[in-house]
Amino acid sequence: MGIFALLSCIIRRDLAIAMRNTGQWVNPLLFFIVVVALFPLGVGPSPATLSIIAPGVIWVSALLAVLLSLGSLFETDFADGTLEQLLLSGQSLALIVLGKVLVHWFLSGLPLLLISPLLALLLALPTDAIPVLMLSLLIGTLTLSLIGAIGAGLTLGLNQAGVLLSLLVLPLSVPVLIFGSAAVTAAAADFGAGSQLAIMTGLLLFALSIGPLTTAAAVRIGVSGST
Amino acid sequence: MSELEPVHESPSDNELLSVQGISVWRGENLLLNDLSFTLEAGQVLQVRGANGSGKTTLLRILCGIGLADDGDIKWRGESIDRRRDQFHEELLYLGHKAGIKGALSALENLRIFCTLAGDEQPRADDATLLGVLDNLALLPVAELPCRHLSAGQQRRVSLARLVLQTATLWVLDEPLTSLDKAGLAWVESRISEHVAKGGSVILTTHAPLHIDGVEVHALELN
Repeated sequence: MGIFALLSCIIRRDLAIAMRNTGQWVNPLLFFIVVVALFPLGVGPSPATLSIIAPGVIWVSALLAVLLSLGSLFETDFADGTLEQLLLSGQSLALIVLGKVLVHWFLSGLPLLLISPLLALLLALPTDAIPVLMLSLLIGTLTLSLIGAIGAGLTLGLNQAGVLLSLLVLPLSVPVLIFGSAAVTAAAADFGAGSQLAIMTGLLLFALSIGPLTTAAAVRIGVSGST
Repeated sequence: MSELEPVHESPSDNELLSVQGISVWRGENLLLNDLSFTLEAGQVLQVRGANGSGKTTLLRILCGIGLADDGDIKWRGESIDRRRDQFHEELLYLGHKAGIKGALSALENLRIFCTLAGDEQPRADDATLLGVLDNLALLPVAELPCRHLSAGQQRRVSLARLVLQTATLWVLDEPLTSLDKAGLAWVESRISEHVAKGGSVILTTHAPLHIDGVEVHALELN
């Protein structure tokens, strides 16, 4: 079975499931919007203050929204036994994982990216910085999905895995947060954001190269640890 | 039923699976103690034992999705860890959990199984799938999300894979759970067809099996 046939089979499968469980992709998006929208209420409506904290606020909220959605990445497939069937299909588990991560990003990262210009205006971020904000979120949320999948694989089958998952994934996602918000801050101050974005792209490629393989190994251990 | 033969020193030509010295500890208890057996083409092996005697654990280990503390499993003379993908292509495992998505219909679930089973499989077009679902009396609910089906119907959906996928070794963990009499007869005749074609079956069940023309070997766990 070809790489693309396998990927498209997994992607179509997970998209069909997600279309019937709307909460799966609406929840992280709502969380993101609510958290960002609370800041002007808490900090005060002064554009000067808001525009300074805007990059950090949007990026921290995006990070937490992605983390929130990671729990369901393998857990539902694990619970109904379809994950062990995927493991036994004789197909490359790393590619299956990659397909699932891409769908996860499509449902939990992409909506954040699309809504972000609106939230940037809410926080009085200079409009010039919006393209950089979207680009940094595009690269960053993909990286977070890839890294987060490793944590989701490692915590497979554990009760109350949420906190452990956050503890595992947060340290690894700190570089994404730092360079993501730094890129937006630089763009807002009319500096070039090229170097930050270049580093973020490097992080993405690194996560892409080791993420699926590591996650596949973690999932294999997680499934074999259960009875 | 006949008792299982002891492990042969020299593997015969049609030996498929060879299990040597499997041991599993669960905490302080030795769940499986130095278990060895072989399975040849065309054999049916029923793993028997009380609840908690390690039947599911053994089956998962045989499939390569469970860990044994000691022992060696060979498929066609090669360790299953070394040629995992080739082994899994020839394996069909029906576990405790049905392995079907509740959000997807029976048709969609089976389509995914057929696609993942690979290129060597017979093309499973919709007419074939619907034909199989008809045999299992699932035609009226073929388009319904599986979560709306009864336990027995869900079990039938996963059992449909027995005729849709070509695999040499079937590992079936309690395949008869929540099945009615007609379902039971259907499974028994599929097993007898499979064995006639030279396939092998390892299964656990507490129901008595009546498979035409097939000798069921027994493996007792205690």
